[in-house]
Amino acid sequence: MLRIATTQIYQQAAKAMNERQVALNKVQQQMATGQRLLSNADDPVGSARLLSLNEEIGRYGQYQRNIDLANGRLKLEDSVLGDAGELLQQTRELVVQANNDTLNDSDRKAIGKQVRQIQEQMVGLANTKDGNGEYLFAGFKSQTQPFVMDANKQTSYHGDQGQRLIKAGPSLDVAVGDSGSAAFQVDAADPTKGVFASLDKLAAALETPSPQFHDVMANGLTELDQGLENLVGVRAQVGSRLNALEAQESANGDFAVHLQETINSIDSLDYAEAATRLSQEAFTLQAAQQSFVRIQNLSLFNYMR
Amino acid sequence: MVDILRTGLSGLVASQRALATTSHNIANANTPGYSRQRVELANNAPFFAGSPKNPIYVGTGVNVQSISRAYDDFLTQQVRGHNSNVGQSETLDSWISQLDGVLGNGKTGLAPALDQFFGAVQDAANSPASVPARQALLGQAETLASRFRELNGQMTTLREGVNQTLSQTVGEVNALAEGIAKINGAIAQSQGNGDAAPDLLDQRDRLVNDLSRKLPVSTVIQDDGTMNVFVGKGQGLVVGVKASALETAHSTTDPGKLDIRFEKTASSVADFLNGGEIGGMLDFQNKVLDPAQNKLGLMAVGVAQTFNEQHIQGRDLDGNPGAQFFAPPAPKVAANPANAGSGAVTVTIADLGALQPSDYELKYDGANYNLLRLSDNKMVSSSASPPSTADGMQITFSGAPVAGDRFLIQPTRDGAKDFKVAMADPRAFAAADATGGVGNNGNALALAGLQTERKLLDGSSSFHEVQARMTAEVGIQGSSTRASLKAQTALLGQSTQARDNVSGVNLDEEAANLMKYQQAYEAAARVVQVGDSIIQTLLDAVRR
Repeated sequence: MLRIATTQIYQQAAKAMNERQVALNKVQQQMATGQRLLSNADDPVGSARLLSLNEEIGRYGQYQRNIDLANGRLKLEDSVLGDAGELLQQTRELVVQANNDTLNDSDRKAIGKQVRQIQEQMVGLANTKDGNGEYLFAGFKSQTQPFVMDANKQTSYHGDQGQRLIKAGPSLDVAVGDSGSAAFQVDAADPTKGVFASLDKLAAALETPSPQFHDVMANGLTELDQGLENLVGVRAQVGSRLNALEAQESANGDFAVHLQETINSIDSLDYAEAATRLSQEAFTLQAAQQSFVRIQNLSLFNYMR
Repeated sequence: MVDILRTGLSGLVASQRALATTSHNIANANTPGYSRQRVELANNAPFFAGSPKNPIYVGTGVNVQSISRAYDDFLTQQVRGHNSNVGQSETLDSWISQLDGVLGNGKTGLAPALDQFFGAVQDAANSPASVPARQALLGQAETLASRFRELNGQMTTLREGVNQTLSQTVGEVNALAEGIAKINGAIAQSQGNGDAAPDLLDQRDRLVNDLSRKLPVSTVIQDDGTMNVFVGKGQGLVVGVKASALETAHSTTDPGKLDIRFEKTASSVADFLNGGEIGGMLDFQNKVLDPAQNKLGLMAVGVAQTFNEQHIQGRDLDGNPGAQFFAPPAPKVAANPANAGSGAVTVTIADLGALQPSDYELKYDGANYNLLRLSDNKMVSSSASPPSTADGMQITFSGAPVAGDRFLIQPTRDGAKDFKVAMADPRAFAAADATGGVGNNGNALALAGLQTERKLLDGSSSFHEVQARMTAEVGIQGSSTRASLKAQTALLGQSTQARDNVSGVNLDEEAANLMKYQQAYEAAARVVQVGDSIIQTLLDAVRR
């Protein structure tokens, strides 16, 4: 004969209601947090994947910080190089003007003064610092003033040839500067080379014209043109680095969005599904409660008087 | 005529007993482990009234043969077995979910600290001459170090928690064994007078059931009614009226763990207690916590070692070669206190990539040095001379061991505990590569690149991937434990129901019995009244 113990009726009902309440509590917690995974045991593989995805997305955030910094430095360099090019252009015009035989020595002296000024401006530009107070054109010796003009108007280079890189993406390192020797063709070992030496030579020849004046001017023009060409070349490189950064930034952005989507697909709660589950569980709990109240009232003792 | 009175009286007594038993059942309807009792009635021997030629037997009423309990040994044993399984899974599940909470997900726990540390390395690479950026890097390194130590501390707290609970549970086991032995005594005595009292049997079953929650037991009923209870590999916890006590003691092979043994014996039975709450705790410690803590340690060792190796190749802000950035990791070795020889072992990390997140036992058996990897019980090396390198460890053995001497080697266990920043001066961060220069960030870039390099576990994993592995493993253990807990709880429910369907009280049934025996009592009383009136009639007839 099949029989049932009275306590079992209560225990079964309590167990069923408890199970429903646990399920309700879970869906409630999910809806409150918006997270599908409440513990790593809910989806161990998904959780491990989330860990890697979050790390990756963090890394892309860091790339963005690097790119912002690189953009700042490179744009500054670009504008400094542009200004330097203009100064050389001005010098070139002055030299052509001074070369004209209609000018006398005092006119040339005046032009020489202007060239001298340009030389000083040029040194000033070449000693530009970035937002962190580091010299832009000093190579790795970024805290040493790279260009020093002495009393004889000789400019010496105290930087090196180092070029700093930053990480713009998982496989893209971008140079965020050029050394003084690259931008201004200077040589730390030979102060007679480079843009500043050319300017000095021209200024000196204009200040105290010599019989070889025209030869010096012609040589100077050639050197200026070389300097200008070099500046344009460096500036073009800066431009292409800025382009590369922009392209990488947009690629990084796309990938970060993709990562976020993957993260959402693993961890984000489908609210429509959760809401359905919530009403289902609530309904089942209610049914369990109602049926229990009906059953527990049935007893033979009710009829004994 | 007197016979009618006697017969009526026997009916009264029987109904009384039956009513008493029914009310006992009703009173215990909700008592866990109570077996409903039944009055076994039998009709009395008849009274011989005829002659040998014409034998007539007149019935003389009823007597109570026994009061027995509704009981099924098979079902009871089944409940016990399932109880052990549920105890094991429930305990394991509860400890695993605590560990799971400690590990956290990608947004909490160790991962963000690691990300931020490598982010700070890149920030320092972006502005290598900036002392604030270097200061920030040191700050993040300290945060990472404290996160490692914190996480390890929480794991150690769990380990201590397990040990403490284990000791308490062993105490409870002893109390239960004591109780069973005592009831055994009472049962042996009552059985001597006939049947054993059903309530005593219930009481003992309840204790054995509670005991089976703590550890798996097997039982044998003796002829005198006492029950012998065996645990582990058949060691007697209760034999007759005598209970043996278990005790916990710090393990000699692994001081961080507890041995469980019978009092006044040396050998641990812990390995054989594979079930119940005790089995669950041991499983958690050996199969979940040990590997997780070793992996956390491997991560810490990996970060410290790879970072240091790269760091010393660079130049700091003052042009000096890089020093150790993190305190160099040191594997942990514990000699067994019972060692009789003078052997001593030191271990260093020789090849980080080959290092395994496992403990090892180095044992000298008199002829050979055997190195056993405990995570998979694999003999890594066995030879007449001590091993020099194994699994990425450089092992140096000095002194003379005696046969049986043992050493526990834990290359990564304390990796996270010992994880410290060795550098204090931000200028000492070697951002520059070997060419030097304050604006040089070559080495900082190489250091930042370590974040994604797969340097660990035979080149298969980056630091993050080790953490992901650790989290996934704990998660998988958690989800499979949850699944088996669910299945076993259902089985326990079913077997309890099956047992209760036999042994439990049904109040409607008892109500019906109550009415039945009440009516029987009233009828028997009526018989006595009739007997009385018959005697009266007879007396009246005689008086005339």
